[in-house]
This record gives sequence, C-alpha cells and structure tokens, in this order.
Amino acid sequence: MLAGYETLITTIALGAILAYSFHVVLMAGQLSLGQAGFASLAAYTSTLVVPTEPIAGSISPVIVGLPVGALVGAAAAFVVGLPVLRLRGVFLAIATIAFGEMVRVLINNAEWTNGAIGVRVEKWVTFDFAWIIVAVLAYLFWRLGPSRSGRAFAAVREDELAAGSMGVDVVRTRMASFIASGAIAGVYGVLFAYFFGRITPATFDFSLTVNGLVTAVLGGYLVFFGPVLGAGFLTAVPEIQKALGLEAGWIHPLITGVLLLAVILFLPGGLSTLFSRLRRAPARPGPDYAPLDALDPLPDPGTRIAAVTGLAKSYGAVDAVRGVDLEIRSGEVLGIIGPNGAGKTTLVNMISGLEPPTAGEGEILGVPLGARPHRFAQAGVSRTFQHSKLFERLTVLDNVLVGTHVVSRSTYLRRLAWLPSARRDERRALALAWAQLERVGLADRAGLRPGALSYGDRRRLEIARALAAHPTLLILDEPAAGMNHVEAAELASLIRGLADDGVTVLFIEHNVKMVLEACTRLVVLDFGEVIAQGEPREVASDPRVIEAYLGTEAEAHEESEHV
Amino acid sequence: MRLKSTTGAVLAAAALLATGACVSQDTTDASSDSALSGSGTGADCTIDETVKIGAVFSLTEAAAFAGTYQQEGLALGFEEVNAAGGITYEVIQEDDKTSVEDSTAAFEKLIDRDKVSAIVGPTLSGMAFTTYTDAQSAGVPALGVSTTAEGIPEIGDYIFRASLPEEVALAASIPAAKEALGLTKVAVLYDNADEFTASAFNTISDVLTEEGIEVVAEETFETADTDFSAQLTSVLEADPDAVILSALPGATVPLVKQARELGIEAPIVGGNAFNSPVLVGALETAAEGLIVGGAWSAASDTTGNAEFIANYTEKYGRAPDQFAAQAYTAAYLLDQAVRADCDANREAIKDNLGQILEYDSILGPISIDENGEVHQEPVVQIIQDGAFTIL
Repeated sequence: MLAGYETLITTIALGAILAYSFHVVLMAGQLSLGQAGFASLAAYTSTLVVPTEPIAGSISPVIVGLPVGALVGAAAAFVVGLPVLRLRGVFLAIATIAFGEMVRVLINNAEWTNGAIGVRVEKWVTFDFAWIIVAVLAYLFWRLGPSRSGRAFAAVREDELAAGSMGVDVVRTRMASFIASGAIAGVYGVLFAYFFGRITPATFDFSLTVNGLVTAVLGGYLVFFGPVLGAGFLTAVPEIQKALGLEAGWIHPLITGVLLLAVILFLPGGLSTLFSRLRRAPARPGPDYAPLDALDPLPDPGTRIAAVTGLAKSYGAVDAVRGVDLEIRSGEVLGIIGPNGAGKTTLVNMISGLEPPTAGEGEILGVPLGARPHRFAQAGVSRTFQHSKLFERLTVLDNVLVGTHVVSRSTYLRRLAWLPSARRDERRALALAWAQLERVGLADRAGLRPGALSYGDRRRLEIARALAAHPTLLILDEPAAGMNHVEAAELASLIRGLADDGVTVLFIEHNVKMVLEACTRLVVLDFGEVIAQGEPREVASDPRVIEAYLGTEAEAHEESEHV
Repeated sequence: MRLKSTTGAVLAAAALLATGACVSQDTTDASSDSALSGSGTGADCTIDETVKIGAVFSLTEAAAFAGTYQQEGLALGFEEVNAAGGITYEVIQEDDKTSVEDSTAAFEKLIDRDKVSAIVGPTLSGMAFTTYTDAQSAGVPALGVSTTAEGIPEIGDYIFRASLPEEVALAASIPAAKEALGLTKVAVLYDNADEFTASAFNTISDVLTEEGIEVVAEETFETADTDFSAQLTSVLEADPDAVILSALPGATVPLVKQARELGIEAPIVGGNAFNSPVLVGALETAAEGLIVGGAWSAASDTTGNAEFIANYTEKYGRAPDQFAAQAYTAAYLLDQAVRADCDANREAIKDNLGQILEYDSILGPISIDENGEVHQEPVVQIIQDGAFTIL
C-alpha cells in the first residue's frame, strides 16, 4: 500500500521529531539552536551500543539506541545549559550554535567517529517505528499543554518576570525545556542514523538546525501537533508540485519559499492557527465547584509577616532606596505613597524578590531578602506590576490559571497516566481561577486574549491572577493607574473586601482619595527614605508630607491625572 | 465508558508498538516482466516495451555544479541510443537536492513506483552509501557515474560504477607528475570535513609512500573556509616541489588563487574534482600549471569523443565536462548490458553490467568487473594556456 512512499512518510516523521526538539524550547520561549550538536553526539554514541543483530529474533536493535540517545542528548543539554542558560534571546542562540559547531568539529577530528568519512550502520528503523515515536511525542506534548508544567512553560515564554512572581521557578523551567530538547534531539539523531544507515559529521550541520527551527515555527509552537503539521507541509508542498507537473528546479524552492513567507506573515501562530477555532470556549466549572475551603488558612490578623531593616538599593551612584525599616502585619492594608522616583517600586521589587537589595536584612514570610522571586511567591507573596505584565498569548482564564501555580500540585506525570487525581487537581485549579475572575468581574471574558481587554480590565486581570495564588501578602503597584473614578472606587472596595478576607495588602498608589479610603496604614517615601508613616489621615496632614509630596490639594489631583 | 476507550487506545498503541519494533523482512522482488525481454541479440535486439531507466542527480543545491552536466550527458547518451533503434529507453529524472533524504526518497520512488529497470546516479558518494543499500536490497541495478569514494561497489552485487575511483585518478596523476617534474618532496593540503576529499587524502598518503615522495607539509581546512593564509604560509616555508590538493571546487578556486598570490609557484596536483572547464574559467591565470588526474579529457582522441563534444556543445550551448562525459557513457553501458541478452529486466541488467569488457567509449576502453568496479586508463592533464593538455 505504502510501497514507494515509505521514505517520504518517514521523512515527515523525522522532520516532526526534529521539530519537537525545537518546539519544546520555543514553548518556554528559549531560542536554543544546539539541537544538531545533541543529535550528533547521541547518534554517534548510539552506534557504539546498538547491537548488530535483532534482539530476540525480531525486535529492532534501535530499541537500545533510543534511550541511550535520549540520555546522551539530555546529559549534554544539562552540561551545556549550566553556563549558557544565563543567556537569553539572540545571545542564547549564538552560544548554542557555537556548541553545535564545536561538536561537529570534535566529531570530525575524532578517531572513533571515522572523521568526515562517517559511520555506516544497518537500517533498522522502519517508517512505522518512526511514526510511533512521533505519536509518543505528540501524546507527551498533548498531555503537557493544559497541565501545571505546561502553563509554567507558557508563562516563562510570555514573561519571565511575571512567571517568577507567580511562583514559577524560571531557571528550572528553562533548564527542563532545554534538557527535554536535548533528549528529543538525541532520539532524532539515533533514528536518522538507523533509518538512512549512515551518518557523517556534516549530517548534523547548521542547515539541520535551520530546518528544525523552520518546521517548528511554521507548524506553530502553541499547540502540541504543530511540528507534525510543519513537517507535513514542508514535505508535501514539493511533492504536490511534482505531482502537478512542475519540474523546473528553481520553481520548487521558490513556491515553497513564498508559501512559507505567506504562513509566517498571515498566520503568526504557524499553521496550527488554522485549527485554533476548534478550541472550546472556557466555561464555568461544574457543580463540584467549591474547593476553595481546601486552601491553607491565612495567618491570624496582627501576626508579623514581614520585617526588614536598613533596606537599601543603589544603582551606581544613585541611591534609589536608603535605609528603609518596614514591618508588615497580617490583615493590614498598607499604602506606600511618594513622588515619582521616590523609590516605591524599587522597594516592592526587593520585597518580592525581583531585585536583590544592596544592603539591609530581614524576611518576608520566612524568605530572606535576596532570594529568587518564585520563593517569595511560594511563601505567599503575590503581586501586580506598574506596567501590567500579562501573558499576552494566553487567554484571560489561562493567565489566571498560571496564578494558581503555587497552590496546586504538579499534574503532568499523573495526566500522562490519566490518573483521576490529576483531573481533580486541574478542576480545582480551574475553580480557583474562575472564582478570581468572578471576583474581579471578568468571568464573561475568560476566553479572550489580554490584548482585547480595556486598560482597566487588564489591571483587574492582573489582580485576579495575583489572587489566584491565594496570597498572604498581595502587592499592588499602582493598580488604579488608568482607571476612571468609578473603576477606582470599585477597586477600593475590592481591596477592602480582600482585607476582610484576611489578605494583607501592600499597595503603591497616586490616587490619594483611594489611598485614604482603602488603607489602614500609610508609608510615605521621598528620595528613597521613609519620611512619615502611620494612620492615613494623620500622615496626610503631616507638614513634611505635604511639603514633599502632596503640596497643595490641587497639585496632588493634577499628579493623579498624569499617571 | 472513559475507562473502556482509554484501554482500547492503550491496546491499540501497544499493538502498533509491537509491530513497529519489529524488523521487517525485506523480500527481494525477483519477478520479471516478459515484455521487457525481446528478440534478437546485440545490435538486432528488439524490445517492444519502453525500458524505464531512473536517474538521480543533484540538480539543485550544493552539488548542482555536477548534477546538471550529468543530466544533460545522460539525456544525450540515451537520445543517441534510442536513435539506433530496436529498444526505446525512457529516462525518469529525479533531483535529490543534494540531500540524503531526497536521494533516498527518489530511489524509493524509482524502484517501487516507477519500477525502473536500472538507476543511474546519485551524484555524491555520500548519498550513494545510503541509497545503494536500498537498491541492493530491492534488487535494482544501480550504476554510479560520479561516485568515486572507496567502498561503493562493495555495497553489493547490484551496485556498479562507471566513475574512475579517486584513488585510481590520484594514483595516476601523482606518478605522472613525479615523472614529468621530478618530485621528491611535496606538501599535502586537504579538506578534512568532506568525506570525498578526506577519503582521497588516504589514497594520496598511500600513493606518496609507494612512490617514495617525502611529505614536508600536511595541512587541513574545512569545506566552507575562504581564507587559507595560515596553511599556505606553512606550505610556502616548507618549499615543496609540488602541492597535492584534495578539495571540492568551492574551496579550490580561492585556495589556488591565494597560493599564487602568496608566491607559491610549485605545481598543484589534484584529482577528479579538478577536471572541469568551469574551474579553469574561474581560476583564470591561476589555473596555469595545474595537474589533473581524471577519467576523461576533451583533448583525448578516444572513439566518438569529438562528436560527443560537438553534439553536446550544440545541444546545450556549453562545453561538456567529465561529469557529462561519464553520464553519457553510462547510457551506452546500460544499452550494452540490455542488448547482451536482449533483456531489460533488472536481473539481466545486473548480470550483464558486470561483464562489460573493453567497451570502446569516449572515456577510452572501459570494463566493469563482476564486483561492479570500473577499469579504465586514467588521463593525466596539465593546464596550459587555459586549456587541458594531456601530460
């Protein structure tokens, strides 16, 4: 039935497997291009261990090569990842390309690899074998997508800072995607060697990297079957042209190139965009939707949850924050005000781990200052940003689901085995997220992308995402910026409601009216120093504060308009 | 319900896994088509059915410099053979885009879908190592016209080549140069990232040892390199009588030019890859004095060579090179093999290709032994006044 087409069909499978090794890093937003190196190492190593005779009579000996290849690829990725994963974007791309080139030169000059002449092996891989690997990979990625780990990948891709603040361990997530990429590239290398029966160092050159990257991007890395689509498209287009009788050599690449360009221009999410309409609109979780009581209780009101002394941050000669002592007690609504450039955002960035302090000590919910953001998040600190940092390519609901990261358990492995407990955990996270959307009034927009929301709604979405983490301490950086008076009033009542529920709120705001309405305590910063703190109305009437910040009533209003 | 469908899916996957993990047993399809065997013998042979011959060359990408000449040479050859009457050949031409994947797919298409009697090509040895194992296990005779690397005919009894192995070309050009120039010490420069040139280097070393020529400098570079000053400086310092070069055309041009600019005046000796008029054109005056070992020369007065060059130039508007000449010869060799028993079935072609003895071609008398290896006298040429001259 398939006689005469087996190579073609297997080429699609191999292309898809290679593309999956790019897919997994692109999913996590990493432009890593070292796959050719991993594939090469794995393929050459496998030629040393794969037996020359079928196992037990008829089992393909490549069965031995695959785990070895995956392991070699993963181990190489780990070793390379340790230094290069500090890099991002084009720098990471260059470093990984350099790694691939290093491997090629190494293999080319090594004795055991037979240099440029290459190694010949038996062709043990058949097309069904290759497609089974594709099916396994597609299954792994299908189950990964809507799991806690899958959301962590997406969050890191969309915004590393926001992901860290939501409790995602960014370094580990990036490393996990890098290692997975190495392992898949390793599997590709072994399959390539045993399908074509021959490898040379030049097999794994830069063009392999380009092919894999183009296939992955063309297919789309936002859905699990993207690589298969990409590989199918790239193989099918020349074949269809040939079937139509277009024979001239230069026309094939031209038409393929034009189609490729069209896809990149008009389908930014790759070919898989065509299928995105099939996605179901998110719906309110069913009747078993009351799991919120299972969450850990918040600390009793009045408990000291954070205390820092002598906190300072300087950028070169500029002291953004100087010697700030701050104590936060559970149940407070603590407002931080001050003129622009007073160091408010720097202060909360240090408290939430985004910036290490230059001096000072203390703990936030038991986490020492200077720790990485996800540790603060795991301890119960959740925040929004002055300029909203939403995950733009995720739906509103998925944005909030990322927020549940710290209060849910990893579900990926259990999802692979279809364990009911994974399903239960996912439903719980969904219920938690949905409750926050309802709380801020965005439930009817759950299926939209953040880009389709108004400015005020974007701020509310960010608050919903922060709340989904069930925070002990919620930090809001200018949440009312860009809101009109009605929205700001609603926000103020939302914040008071949170305080009633026992959530401690720390917020930076310019809207004085809102600050005075919502806060139980106020801290005023000027030039990086605390100049006043205490009961909001008393602080507001402090002459120093009026001088430094409020000035006259009219000026204060003017300022709030500017923001 | 859910559990049932899941179990079903798992079982199906397990079943698939079980079949996929098994090694398929290839059975050689030995069936023959009686319509492909005709009546008469030799020149009188008549076969009613059109004989399909597959051709896989690199018409695009890296090796297109060779593939396009091969396509034209083969087409011209079969055109002439068809004109002789009795048998009609149809060439099914495939482009392997200089990639292993496409080459393998092209072989599979020709073997299983087009059901050709024999295949000519591919252009590069690197692809032949993969595709010839498929041709071998499918029982389809394959005739290489530029696959010069070591170990090609050894792939199996269905594999033949009409392309002078690099070791033979070099084994001829080095002693010829030694005799003409009185070489005692040479420098060897080779591309160690390409399998063809790396394989040739092994041959060069053997020949030099055999001839008792001392190697005073041995330098390597990579296929895509463009600057060779480091290697050439040490060659210059070693002051050799000649430079033996094993490189692809891409590196040859800048390397030879830079060598001349640097002041290396020693003659440069190379193998098959040098044997192209395009190379001489690109090198301009730097080509003077290059010594080239190859399978064919425009200057040879072999049977039909002058007509071949005239017809080719008229038809395609450019002068043929060695690639064209060897592909052209392949058409005649296949025709010989078919006419021997007046049978164009795969088995018959396989049996008869290995028996071609001293066939008088434009490459000179050429034989293919039963192991599939070609035997012919190599031609050693030197470039003088911009033209190939037999040394």
